[in-house]
Order: sequence, then C-alpha cells, then structure tokens
Amino acid sequence: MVEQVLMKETFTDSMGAVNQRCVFGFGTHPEADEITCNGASGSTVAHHVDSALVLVDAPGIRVIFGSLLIGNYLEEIECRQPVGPDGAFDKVPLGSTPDDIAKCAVPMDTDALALTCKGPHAVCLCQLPGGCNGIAEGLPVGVEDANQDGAADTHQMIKGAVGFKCTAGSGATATNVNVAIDQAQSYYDPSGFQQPPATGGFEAMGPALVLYPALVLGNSTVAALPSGSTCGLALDPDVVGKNFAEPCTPVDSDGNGGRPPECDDLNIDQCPQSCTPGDLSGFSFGTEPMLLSLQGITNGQMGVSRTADIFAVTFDNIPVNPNTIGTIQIFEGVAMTPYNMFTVSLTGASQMDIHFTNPTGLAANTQYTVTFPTGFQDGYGVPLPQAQSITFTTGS
Amino acid sequence: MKARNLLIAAALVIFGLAHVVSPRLAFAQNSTSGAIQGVVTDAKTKEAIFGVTVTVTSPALKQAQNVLTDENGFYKVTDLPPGVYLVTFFYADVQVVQSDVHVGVNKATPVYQTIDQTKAGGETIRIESKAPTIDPTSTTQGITLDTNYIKNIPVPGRTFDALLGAAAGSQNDGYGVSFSGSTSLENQYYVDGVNTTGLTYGTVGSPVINDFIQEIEVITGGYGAEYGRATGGIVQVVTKTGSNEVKGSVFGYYQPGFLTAATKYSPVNATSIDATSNINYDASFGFDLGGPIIKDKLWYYVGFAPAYTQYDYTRITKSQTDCRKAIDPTMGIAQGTQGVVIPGLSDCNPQMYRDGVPDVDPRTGFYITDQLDSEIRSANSHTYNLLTKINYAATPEHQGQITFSALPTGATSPGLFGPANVGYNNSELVTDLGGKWTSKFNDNKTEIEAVVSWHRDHADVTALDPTLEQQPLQQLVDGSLGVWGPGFNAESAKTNAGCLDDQNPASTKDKYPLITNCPMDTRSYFVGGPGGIVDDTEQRFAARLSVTERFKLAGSHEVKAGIDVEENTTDHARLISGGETITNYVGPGQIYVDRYVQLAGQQGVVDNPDPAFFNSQCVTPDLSGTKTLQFYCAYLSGVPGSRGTQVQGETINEAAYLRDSWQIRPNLTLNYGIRYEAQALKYAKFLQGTTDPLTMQKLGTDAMDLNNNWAPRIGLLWDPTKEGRSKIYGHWGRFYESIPLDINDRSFGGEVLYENVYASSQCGASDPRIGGPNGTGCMGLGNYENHLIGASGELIAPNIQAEYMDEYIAGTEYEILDDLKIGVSFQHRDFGRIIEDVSTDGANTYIIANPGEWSESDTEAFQKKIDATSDPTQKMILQNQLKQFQGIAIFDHGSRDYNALQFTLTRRFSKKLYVQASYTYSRTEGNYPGSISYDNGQIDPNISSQFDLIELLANRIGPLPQDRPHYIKLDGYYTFDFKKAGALTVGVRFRALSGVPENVLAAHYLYGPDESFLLPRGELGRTDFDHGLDVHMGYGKDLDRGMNLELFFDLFNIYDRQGTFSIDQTYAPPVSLNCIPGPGVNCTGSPAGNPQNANPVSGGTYDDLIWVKSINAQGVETSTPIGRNPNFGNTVSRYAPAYGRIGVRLTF
Repeated sequence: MVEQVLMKETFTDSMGAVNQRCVFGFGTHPEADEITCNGASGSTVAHHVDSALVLVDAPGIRVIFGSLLIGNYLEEIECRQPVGPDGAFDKVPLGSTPDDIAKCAVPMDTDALALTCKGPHAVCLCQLPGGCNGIAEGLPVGVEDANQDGAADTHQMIKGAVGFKCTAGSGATATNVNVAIDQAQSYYDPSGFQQPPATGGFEAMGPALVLYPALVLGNSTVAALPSGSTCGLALDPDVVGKNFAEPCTPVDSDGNGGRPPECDDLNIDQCPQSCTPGDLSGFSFGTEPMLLSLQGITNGQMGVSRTADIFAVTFDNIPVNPNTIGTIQIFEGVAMTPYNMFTVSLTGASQMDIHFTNPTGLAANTQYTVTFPTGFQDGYGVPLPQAQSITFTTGS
Repeated sequence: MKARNLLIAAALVIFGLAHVVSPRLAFAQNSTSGAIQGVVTDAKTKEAIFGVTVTVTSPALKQAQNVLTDENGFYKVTDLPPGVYLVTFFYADVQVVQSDVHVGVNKATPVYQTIDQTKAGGETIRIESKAPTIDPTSTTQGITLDTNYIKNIPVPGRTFDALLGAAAGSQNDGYGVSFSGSTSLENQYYVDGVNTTGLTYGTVGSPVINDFIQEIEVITGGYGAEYGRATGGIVQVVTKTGSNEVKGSVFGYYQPGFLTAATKYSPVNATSIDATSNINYDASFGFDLGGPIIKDKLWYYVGFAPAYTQYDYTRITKSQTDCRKAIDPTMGIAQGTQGVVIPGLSDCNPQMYRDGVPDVDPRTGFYITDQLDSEIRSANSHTYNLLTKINYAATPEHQGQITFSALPTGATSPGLFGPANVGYNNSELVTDLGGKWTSKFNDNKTEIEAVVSWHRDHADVTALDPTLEQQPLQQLVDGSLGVWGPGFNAESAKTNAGCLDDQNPASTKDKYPLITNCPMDTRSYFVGGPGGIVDDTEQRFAARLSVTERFKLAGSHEVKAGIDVEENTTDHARLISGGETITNYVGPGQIYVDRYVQLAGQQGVVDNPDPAFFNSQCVTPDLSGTKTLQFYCAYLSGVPGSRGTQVQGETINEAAYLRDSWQIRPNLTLNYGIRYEAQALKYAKFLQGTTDPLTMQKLGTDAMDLNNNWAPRIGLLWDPTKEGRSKIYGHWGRFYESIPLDINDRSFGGEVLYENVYASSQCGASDPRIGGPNGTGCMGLGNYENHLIGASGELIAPNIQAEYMDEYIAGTEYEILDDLKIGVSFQHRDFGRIIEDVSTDGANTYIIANPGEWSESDTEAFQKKIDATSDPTQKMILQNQLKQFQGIAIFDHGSRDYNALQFTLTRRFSKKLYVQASYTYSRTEGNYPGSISYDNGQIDPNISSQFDLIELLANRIGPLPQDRPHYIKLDGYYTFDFKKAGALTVGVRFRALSGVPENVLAAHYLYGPDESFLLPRGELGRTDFDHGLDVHMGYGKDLDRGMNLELFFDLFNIYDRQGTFSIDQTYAPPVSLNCIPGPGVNCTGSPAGNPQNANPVSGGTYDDLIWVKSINAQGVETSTPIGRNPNFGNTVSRYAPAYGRIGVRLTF
C-alpha cells in the first residue's frame, strides 16, 4: 500500500512570489508541517498537489510504501558485459539472496565463475544465441563488481516496471501520455522507516520508490513530466509486495489521510493494505502548465531593438516539441499582418529555448505580436491549453 | 532520605513490638554464613518436644553452638560458617546425632528430628539418613559451590568468576558471567560481605583466586529485600578462615604451551596482517595457612599466590596474488586455506593468468594470499594474589573479622598491527579492606551485623616503549604494508620483499607488479605513541548495618532491617600520548586529528576551566549544528607528554530495607519485604558551579538524583513433606539498577573531543614512510572542517526515574532420594523501565531519559516552568528543551523479556559421587540487551548508542545476543578409593548450548559501523549448537601427620571443538568512514569504494539486501546499492582450544 508520496510543487507565497516546496502529495505524517527536502522547505500540511514541478529535480518523486516490495521485479543488476538484447543488465531470479549474487560476482575468471555461478539463482547468464564475447549462451558472464566485494556495483530500474500515466485536457481533446522513468536515476530502496525526526528526515522514509521521469530528447534525457496534466502512478502488474499483492492507494489517504494507528511503530511491514490490489487511482496530482519567460524583452515593451538577434522565449519548466515550432505565429502591426521574416529556432540540448531572429532587421516603430497557439506542444505532445501572445514595439 | 528514614522507623517499631510479643529469638543466615533449622517431634506421639538441646559443631565453627527447641519443637541455629556439621539433640537421657549436615552461605539447612523417648538410658542414636539439602525458607535460585566442587570439577580459570557459569541460567557473555537473561555488568559481587563489584562498569572487581575460597553462593534470582542494586545476579564469595587447628596448603598449577592446541585461524579479507593468540604458559603457585593466634579468641588466615602468564601472538603477513586460476572444476570445492595454493586452482602462472586484478577464491569470496612471513610477539602478565584475615571472638556472642586482600597485576602487550613497540604496559592494584562485627544481645535475642569496607582499584597504562610516551598515536588507514613496513622498519625483510610494489610491470622484484601486493583495506596500521594513557582510580567506601530479630505472632517471624550506604568515586585520566590522536586516511587523502578540550563556557561568560586545559591554541569552533549556542574552547594541553587532566566522578548510593520471613506453619513460609534505594550521581568536581552549555544554568553538585526506588519482594514457600524434603514456591520482586560510574565520566565529566579534519595536501609533503603526508604535520594548520564531539552536552529528562526489572518465579524442589534432589522452576524477568540517552534532534543534543516515557502531564509541568521564567533567553532555551523532551515519547520502551524453564538435578557428594546437572530452556527477547551493547561492542552502561537515534531502533526487537534457548550443564565427580594406595577423583564438566543469534548490521552515516540493524534482530537464525567437555583427574594420597598430597591433571575442551563464540555481523561496512568532501577529497571516488551506510529494512529478509541503497557521508540517500562485506557471517572469535593443566596440592 502506498503510504505517502513526497514531491515538490510550486506555490505563491504571501509576498506574491512563486516558490517551491516539498509536500506530501499523498498521505501524510504527524510531523508533516516540518517537511524539508533537498534544501527546499515547506511549512505546510499535506494536500493534493495541483502544481507539481514538471522538471523533477532531487530528491525525485518519492513514493513511500507501507510494506516491502519484491525488488526483483523493480530493478536489475549490471553484468560485466551485455547478456541479452537489452544490454548489460539482467534481472535477478526470485528467491536469490546476496550470497547468490556474490557467487556470480566475485570470481574474475570464467572458469572459476562457472564453479559457483550456477543453479536456479544464477544471474548474468548469457542469453544471446551466439554467445557473449566468447561466453556461450547459458553460461555466466559475471556481475559487474569492480571492488570485488560480492555485490553488484550498479542497478537500474526494469524498463516498464514503473511509470506515470498523465492526461492533459479532457474529453475528446484529452491527451494521454505514458511517462517512462529514468532507469538509471530512479531506484527502489527497501530500507527506511516511518519515524522522523530520524536523520535524513522525510527523505529517509521507506521503503520507497524514488522516481525521475524520463523525457527522451534525441540522445539525452530530461527528468520532466507532461505540463498541465493530471498524473498518477503506473506500476506493472509484476510489481508486487512480498505477499505477492499489487500495491494500491487507499482513497482516504489522499490529502489528510494517514496511516492506521497499528502502523505507528517501527515495523511498518505489519501495516494492513486497506485498498484493492492494483488500484492506484487514489493518488493523482496536477502538474504546472508550460511556463514561458522572455529573454531580451518584456511583454508590451516599447523601443525594442531592431537588430538581428531580437529575443528569445524560454520555457522554464519543460522542453518543447520541436515539431510544433512551426505553429508559432508572428504578426506585424496593429492590424496583425502575418510576418514571415523571423527565423524561429529551438536551441540548446534541453530544447527549452526558442530564439527569434530577423537577419534583415525589424521595421521601426512597429508593433509585433508573437502567438503560441494551442497547437504548440511540450515535449510530451501536450498542447498549450490556451494560446499565449507576446507583444512589443520596435524603436526608431 | 525521608522514605528511608520512614523505613528504618518502621523497622524499629516492629522490633519493639517483637520484644513485647515474644522474647524468643533466632538469627538469620547472612552473606557469609548459613543456618540449620528444624522441628523435633516425639517418634510415637508425633507431638513437638519442647526443651530439646540442639548442639552444632563443625571444623568450620570455632565454638559449638547450642539452642533449645521451643514449644513447637522448632529450633534454628544461625550465623554458621559454611561447612559440614554434626548436629546433636539432647533430651532426657536420649542423645541423637546427625552427621554430614551441609550448611551453605545464606541458606537454612533443614534438620528435622524425631526422638523416641522410650529409648532413654544414655544410648546415643546415630541417624543414618542425611539432612535434606532443600532450604525451605528461601526462594532464591542459584547454586552453591564448595571447596570440593572447586577442587574436583575442571574449571577453566583460576579465579572465582570462572566458576559462576555452573549456575543454571548463566552464561559467559564475553565480559563475564551473566545470569537469567541479564548482562554480566548487572551483577553484584561480594567477598566476605564486602561489595567488590567493579565501579566503572560493574565487572568483577576483585577476582579472588579459587584456592582461598571456602564457598561461593551464586544467586540468579528470587532474592530478598536485603539484596539490591542488581538486575542480574548476586555472587557471595566466602574465603577460608583460620580455626583452632593449624591448616593450610601448598599448591601449584601449570598450563604449558605444548599442552595447548593451536587456535583455529580466522583470516580477515583484504588485510595483509592476521594475528592469532596461543598461550605459551600459565603458571601459578602459592600457599595458604590458617590457625589460632590465641586459641578460641583470635585466628589468622593468610594466602599468597603469584601467577605468571605468557601469550604468543602468531602474526602472519601475506600478499595478495595475481596469477591463480581455477584449473580443474571437477575437483569440487575443498576446504580453502589462506596462504597456500588452493586445491582446484593453479600454481601461480604469471605468464598466463596475470591480469592486474587480485585473485579471489571463488569459494570464500576472499582474496587469495601468499604467506610472506610469520612472527611471534609475546604478551606477558603477572598477578600476585594476597589474602589475609583476622577473626576475633570476644565472646561467642560477639565476633569480628578484618579482611585485607591485594591483587597487584602487571602486563605488557606488544603492538600487533604495527611496530611491536607500539604497545602497552598495564599495571593495576586492587585492594579490599573489610571489617565485620556481629553481636548478639539480650540473651541472644537480637543480632546486629555491621560491615565497613573499602574497595580500591588503581590502573595505569603507559607506553611499552617509554620513548613513545610523548608521541601521538597515528592510525594509518587505506594504504599498503609495502610502504608502511619498510617505512617504519617494523616488518621483516621477507615481508618487505613480498609487499614491494615497484610500479614497473616488468619488475623482477615485484612478484605481482600489476596489483598492490599488500593492501590494508580492512585493517589499520598503528605507529607512534600508545594513544590513550590510563591513570585511573576507583574507590568504594561502604558501610552496612543490619538488625535481625525473631518473634512469634501467628507463627514465627524473622524480621531483618538494615541500611547501607556507599560512596563510589572514580578519578579517570583524560590523557592522550602526545596530546592528540591522528587517523590518517592515506587512500582517500584525509587526516583527522582529535584532542580533548573543555568547553570554557558561552561566549562572554567567564568560567574557571580545569587548569590542565589552556587557552593558547584556542579557537572558536563552528557550532552551527548546535543551534544557537557558541562556545569558546580550551585544548587539553597538547604539549607532548602532558599528563592531561583527571575527571572525578562520584555517586552516593543509599538503601534501606525491611523484610520478614514469616513461618506461618513449620512447612509454610511467607517472605515479604521492601527495599528502598536512592542514587545521587554527581558532576565532575571541576564542572560544579560552571555554566551548563545547554541550560545556561550553573551546574550544581548532583547531575542526576534517582530517588523513590521502592522495591517490594514477596515469596511463598510450602513444604508438603513437612520435613524439609520438598518445597513449592513462588516469588515476585522488583529490582533497581545501580548505575556504574562510567556515566559520571562520560556524561557528567564534560568530556568533549575536538576534531580537526584536514585534506592530506594541507599537511605538508608526502612522508615516504606513509605514502602520504604525516598527520603530525597538520598541527597548527588551517583545516576545513571541525567537529566538537560531545559539545552539546547532555540534558537530563526532568521526569527521569531509575531503571528497574520485575521478576516472577515459580518452582518446586523435591528430594527424591537421600542426597538427590530435583527441581523445576519457571523464571520471568522483564525491564519495567530503562535509562538510555536519546537524541530527538538528529544527534545534536542528547537527553538521558527513560525512552518512550514522556506524557502530557510532563509537558504541562515543564510548561509551568517555562511560564514562570521571565528571562526571554532562558525562556527560549526552555522551550527548545521542551520540544526535545516531547520527542522522548516516540522512542520505543526498552525491553528485555527473559523466560526460562529450568530443570535441575543435584546429588550432593555422597558415596563418592557428586552430580550437578541442569537443562534450561530460555528465551531472551527484546530490543535492549542491558548494560552491554553486544552488537557493536560498546560498554557504556545507560549511555550506549542503542537508543540514540530513532532510526537505530528499527529492527532491534528480537532474540537478544544472550538468547540461548537450550543450555545443558553437567558437572560431576567420582572418587575411586584405593584405601591406603590413595584415591583417584575423576571430574567432568560438560556444556552444550544453542548458538548466538545472527544479525545483519550496517554503518550509520553519523555513528559508524554496526549501528544500523539492516534486518530484524536474529533474522538469519543463529550459529551452530555448541558443546565442550572438560575432564579432571586427581590422585590423592594421605601422608603422615594428617597431610594429603594430590596430583591432578585437567584437560579442557578435550575434543578441541573451538566452536563459534561470535561472528562478523557487519554486512555493509563503512569503507570510507566519515568521508567528508573537501579540498582534494572526493569521497565517492575513494579507492575503497562508496560509503556503505544504510538504513534498516523494517521487517526485511535476507533477499531484500540486494536492493538496499547506501546513504552517503552527508546522510543523503543515493541510488548506489550497498556493498557487502565478504567476511560477513564468518567466525571472528571462538571458544578456547583444547588445553591441559597439571597441578599439585599438599594440604595439611
């Protein structure tokens, strides 16, 4: 059962400034008014989150469970070389113990490895019909263990095991997005407890999944969620607790819910699951809309330079869909005559900056309007919910 | 004090009442004596006989004792030294004699007698049946060990503490013998009525040699109100006493090395030095002599026994290899041996198998090593046991005793993991002086016993090499023996050659040029001075007074009231050779320098620090972690060779008790009583009157007063046989802990360590002896991080109360045959409350508290104190304290539940056979083992790390380290009497017990190794069932003039099992301890890997450990999986190997 979800949201403080804070977006804790995470303080009680950060930074979205999950269905361990079509990571057979990993980790030569890394709990066996760099199919290649302590050096999340399901808009125009997670950055940690003020605070509560969404941009990945969406957790049916039941989210834990009294001890594994296995509908959160900020000008500015590098628009919280750059419309004059002399380009690996240049220069004392229509999308393909325009007037 | 006075007043009232009600008295057994009691009836009418004269005599008794039976035929003879007695009943012309009546310390031996008055005529009737051995008046659990036991049972030790394990429900916990689920530090040890319990920790304070002992009584539970200050057991040792006959003995024992099997080797992975210890010899000899100075008036006893021991440490150096390979998988997995070619693996073949990676044995996960050299370093010790005693009898009713014992010891211990001269000289002198007086007044109607005593223990530890006394100890971590060995000229040429790393892949000198041959990843190397220097003295001045009276009121009452008071003091040195200790992390490139400092007070507040501290190097440390408080500090003199300072601790213990043993009927006894205890723990003298860093109040005299400790006791006994051959009994009692003085030193002594952290690059050029900068070069330089450890002081919860334990006992004993009794009992013990320090603000501030105990009413009471405070600063401090105190409530209560079912069989020595056997099924479960934190080896009673942080409590509930469900004990001996040819006595001692629970521990990022229970306590089961058999053979022959010569041979652990005593429970060690990023330091990139700190997996199982993620040095969870200690689960300490001991004893 999901107990809490610790995440960051934006909020407007009493001075009108927009800030970030940590919050329990699901579930709560008796000491929830003292939440801090990664330096961001929150002095707030738990509540439903409607403005979760789209760009997820440390410490990620922490999903805290009331009982242990089976790690074998969540993470896989790194082998010394590719063992299958998906590369150098391999799943760990159910029932394996650290001793089984050690048997496949410590020996550094194949003959010695074959002595110990065998049986139903052997891991990192070559799965390629043609063999793995000289090691025949079915034989061990060894667990990557540079310091030879018998434990795998690196894990990663199993592809598809965990993700988010998001929806932007509603009805026929609704956009549904399945958000994958960053396999390397996200992780499952069975350790942890429910008793702040332990050192580490709420970020030490567990067992937990720490999730970073993965928006793939060419060769790079950005930890971003779809903007302006309502999201929920998505777990593969294989992901189960140690009682083999799928985790779920109790409806009454959203907002001001809490753990039942019998769970108020250190052995949280004894907490009963008070929801239907697999039903994660109790947890949802909203994300920020796409946020634009102007570089070089302000909206409505007079006397703007007519030089070549006119201005830029930065999307503060999410990369944009490069295929929708062409939907940006630019108008000249108060009559809003379409103007096609601008060069609009997406710059930077993060795909968050749009530069507007005009090699020939702009007309003097003329108003220009730049419109981002609803067809303009973020990196996930979520359109702007409503068109946004920027207006400025050039100087003489 | 008021309560105690009330108790005494009540006692006096009762005595007054008793005198009115009945003039008839009897006297109790006490801590050095026993009693004989019974009922005399007419053989035909079965009616009680009034006026029978009962006379008891014994070689142990200086003068015969006489009493008369009362109108119920009841008699009781008390104050009898332990021994074998002759009891004679005189009535009219009938004389009835019972012989071989055994009297034990603190026990009443029942001797019931019928007299056939028709046989009058001067005939002496000798009774063949033996007096029962069941004490029908006492609910105590335990065992009595007499001289025959000491002589004929093979006991692996020469002092009384080695005997204590004979009691059912006892076990060796590595620090002593623990009883009934407690730790060995919770016992009280009395020698001739003098409390000799070690003051700092509660250990055995005066280990008297067995040859001087008359009898030992081990009480493991069910003790009455006259006993207290213990939540473990009570041990009463009675030494021998002179009598009107001159008696004595000369003895010698010798355990040679050639009669000792080799200690099994327990290698440690990734270290290039291993050491095992083997005894070379253990020899002791001596004499004792007792007799009259003035016959019937004044007696003496003297014993003297020197003992000499030498241990040889076999120190092996070894190198890792880079040329082994498995060559024959079909050979299977055989027993691996470090330092030789492993079956199934190749001989070294550098051409084929050299790959730049150290070879690992696939069967053990350990690096394969070549043994380079072996060296023996010896440790020597000597002890001189001296005991003298004078007994005086002004009249038979007024007797006194003065005892003096001295135990000077000396020892030298060489350095093992470094140069041999980095070792210690230890010397210690334990002395005890006790005086006891017993008087009977008013026609023997009143007995008063007074005891005064002085226990003193002084210990010195100095450098083995006096020239190093003024040098700091430097601990080298994460480096290579190949550098350190030749650098400090401490290793042999063979070792230096084998460890040579010349960095040249084509080297002919370096056997494995691609690897570091001799890394020291998991073991430190020590150079420089000895580090901590000891100059400690602890003393106890004690006085006890008790009054016993017996009267009739609806049965017989024996009322005893008493008071006792102790002043316990310590004077502990705070000394470090060279004024500092250095931990030099050569691999990661960090150097830690630690020194003692004293907080001189808040900025702007002038106090008077200990003059041993001086201010010339004083800086203002960064105390940002301690919220609002800033302090000046003063270093303990950093001048090399400085004597540092001393910390004086003091605790005053007071107690009073009142108890009654009410024999409602001759076979029905109700014991009830109440005991009051108080403890006042004081601040170190130099702190008294200074400003407390936390409360900003002047410190008073007392740091912690534990008053109102009322300990009721009640027991009921019924003898269905009505002749002392059985008892069915039950007992309930409450027992309070006596906090040892360690807390005075650590918590009330202002102990603060000032730690400077340097990047190695800050400390000068690389020292070729070290392979990095020498830590001594850091002194006086700027550093990039400081820690003040202990600077935040310790708050004391305002509602704190004493730690106590409740006990329930139910049982029965029955003498099924003459000399043979069996018993069954159930014993339950549990902590009602414990004292430990906790931190509710993430290890910034510590509170000595009762974990889990803070209520709303406590908050209200403290809030009133805040409201009454007008000073805003003080108000803020109090509000902060309240918040911290409220956090106490979330901590678990300390728990230790002991449940034991004991079956005992005792056949006292008769017809040449003695047997003492027991089987105990017990469980000891909870989250708090007691005064010893076995899991991390910490001995700091009541201030251990166990409850410091809330996360350290997760997974702690389970079978505690002392949980040994099955324990079988069998002791016995048989004497083959060859008449004139002498006698051969064969004794055996067999022990079989369950193994210890196995835990899975990890490091906590602040606390270091083994603090975090990764899995629930005992999750991985327990070690193997263990057992061992010892045999004694003694041949004795009577010589002329009453002398007896005995030669004996003891063989211990005859099948050399060397079972597992403890295992390596560290699953995830902190390979980069406390690594803090700084200039030139990248913790996550340290050669040894990432920090392995990890939080517990609540309710987890072994397979979950694959997925646990590490906490970095800053306390932040990472996505990096924890590593694994290849040594996890392996044996790290074993029971002693087989060995033999020979001896000779001449008695006269």
